[in-house]
Order: sequence, then C-alpha cells, then structure tokens
Amino acid sequence: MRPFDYLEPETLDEALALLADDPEDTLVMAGGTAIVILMKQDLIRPARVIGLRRVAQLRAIDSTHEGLRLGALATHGALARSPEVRGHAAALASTFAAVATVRIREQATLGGNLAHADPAQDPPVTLLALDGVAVARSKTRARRIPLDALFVDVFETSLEPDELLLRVELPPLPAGARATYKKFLPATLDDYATVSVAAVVASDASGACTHVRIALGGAGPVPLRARDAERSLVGRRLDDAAIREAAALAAAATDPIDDLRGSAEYKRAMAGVWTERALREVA
Amino acid sequence: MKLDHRVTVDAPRAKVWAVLMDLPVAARCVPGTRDIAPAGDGVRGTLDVRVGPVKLALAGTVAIESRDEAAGTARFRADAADQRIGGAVRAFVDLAVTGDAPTELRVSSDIAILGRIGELGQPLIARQADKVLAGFADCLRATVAAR
Repeated sequence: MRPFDYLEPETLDEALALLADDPEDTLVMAGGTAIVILMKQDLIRPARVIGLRRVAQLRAIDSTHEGLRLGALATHGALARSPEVRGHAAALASTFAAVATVRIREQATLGGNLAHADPAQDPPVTLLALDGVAVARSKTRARRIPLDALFVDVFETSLEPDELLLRVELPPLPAGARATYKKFLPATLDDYATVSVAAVVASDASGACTHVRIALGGAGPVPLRARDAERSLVGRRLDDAAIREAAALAAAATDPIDDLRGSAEYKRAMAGVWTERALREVA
Repeated sequence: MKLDHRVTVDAPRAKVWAVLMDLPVAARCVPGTRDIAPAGDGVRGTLDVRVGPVKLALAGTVAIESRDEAAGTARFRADAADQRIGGAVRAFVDLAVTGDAPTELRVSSDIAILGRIGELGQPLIARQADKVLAGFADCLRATVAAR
C-alpha cells in the first residue's frame, strides 16, 4: 500500500470540514473492509483518508414513533443484535446477520456498505423493501435520498464527493406487515448472494394485499425494486396464481451480468424462483 | 475478451462510413475521451474511465489497420496505457456496416487487458464497454445527422 495522510476527526462537524477542504482527493473510510482491499490491490491511491471510527454520534440506532434511524457507523453485527432493528422487522436483523462472516460483520458498517454500492450486497435489498431513505450532509447542505435514487451504477452512488452518509431512516411499517429476506447461496455460506430477494407485504381483513414491496439483489447493476411485480399484487390475495405471476414479473425486471456466480440467464431464472419463495413465506 | 455490439443509425451508409473513418471525429464521440489529436495515420488521446472509486486515464492511440469501403468493413487497432494504477489495454475493433438508411453497424472488439486493470474483473469491464458503446452510438447518430 502507498503512503497517504490519515485523519481521524472526533465529531461530525470536524469530519465535514476536513472533507470540504479537498473532497476530490479524499477517501472516506468507515469500517474499511472494502476500500482497504482496493488500496492493497493498488486500484485506488488516495492522497488523504478520513477515518470516521471516532465519530460516535454516527453509531446510534434509534426507534421513534417516526420509525427506525440507523446510524451510518453502526456495524452489521450491532444492527443484527439490536432489539430496535429486530422490533422493526426481524427480517432486517437477519439480513445483517447473513452478511459474510462474523469478522466482517463486526467491522463493516451500514454507511460503508451503502456507499460502496456493490449490487450483490445484502442490506440494500431489505432496506429498499422497507422504504429506506438515506440522509446525507456536506459542510453546507443536507439532503434526503430515497435508497432507489442512491444507487446509480455498479460501485456508484449519487453521493457528492463532499457529502457524508449520516444515517438511514425507515418509516413505520403498515400494521400487520410481514417481511422476509432470502439469499440464494449455492456455493458457500459466506459468499455474496447469486441473487437475493426481500419482500414486505401487508394485507386487509379479506387477505387482499394493501402494501407490497419486492426488492432484488445481485440481479442488475444496482439493487432494484420489482415495481411491476408489486403492482400486480396490490388488491389481490397472495394465492398461487398471483405469486407465480409476480415472480415472473420480478424475473423480467432483472438485468444481471454473467460472472462466477452464474450466467445472466440463470440469475434471471433464480430471481423468479426466490421471489416466489419469498412471497410464499409472507403470504 | 470478445465483445459484440450493434448500432442502428437512421442515415445513409456513405454518411455513417465517412464519420467512422474520420478518426478524430469518431474518437471524440467516445464518451470520456480528451486531448484527441492526429498522430500519423491515426489519433492519440486519453480515455477517462471511472468505476466507483477506481479512476483510470487510458492514454494511447487508435489507428486504422485496414478498410474496405465497398465491403463496408474496417479494422481499428487501439493501444492505451494507464499511469494511475498501472496496466494497459490493446484492442482490435472490427467494424462492419450493412444496409442503407437505416444503416446497421456491427462492432466486434477483441480486447486484451494487461496488468492491474484486470483486477476489476471481466464482468465489470464488459459493462463499462457497454456504457461506452451506448454513448458512442448516441454521438454517432447526432454527428451523422448534423452533417
């Protein structure tokens, strides 16, 4: 690894001021599990790295009447164990618990995960299905970014170079909502998913769906919502025919690439299979 | 790595061919290129590519290896090296133009990736190539229409 200046601010204001000094040539590091590998491979050569680990205020996990707020520096392990996260949706806690290995989970953070924007990651999928909104701030401005507008392309987000991701906010779920996250791992348990699916469904007294969210990972350049599949279910009961139709629409919404986890055609087919399984679980 | 792309241009074949063979103009149509200048029979310049936090500046040349206007085929050769992370790209690009208004362009690329750039992985490199080709196609259509 090449030499670089390493700065460790203690407060958010200090971090934003440091970043504003030279946003183009500065790399922001949270847990470092992704970017340290890129630096060791010599694929990135930052002049300056800002390490965020001392900015304790970004670690908080809070549950309020407005929903759940997940601090960007909360680790996957802390999120998996959090009673607040589990109380909001057990599927969200198990999503964080399904990431990689225990060593990665105790180091990697929510904010680092989202900013890295690898389309095969787990948390973005469930957070999308839970209507997550990212809150970002620079020295001079703050903004809210719905997660489906945060991810732009493989490894690319709509965050500006001078912005830090502060937290993700999740609105309260509709009463009686059921959620699940399914990760298809044909090789090993600590692998990235070949495809993954999160489904969130709420229904009225007759069983007709009133709220449907289906999100897919590993199925395109960004984690994506299967909106046609969602629309096909609103007002219907989750019976066999409805589930199969929605699964086919979800598969059609994918745009996967061929890689070592399977051909594009295989991943598209598996997106349908795992959407069907996810919907049966929340039916 | 072999890649295949097709572009349809709603214009006469002769016009499409003329733009493709005008290397400085065609090279400027590749999104991310800068400092394009004639060099011998070809052009030199730099192609900036960004994949998330990884930034490449591929500096090199493109030359026409062969062309046959009657058959509508040509072969370009591109050689470029990146000084930032270290690595090089060598590509043979075969163009085949068929039809006439609309004109169909087939771009068959045989790309060799050398050095550290290869660590990005073939799927990601193929995706970048798709993006570059899509941008080139839009520019080609606009340039042909403006002539």
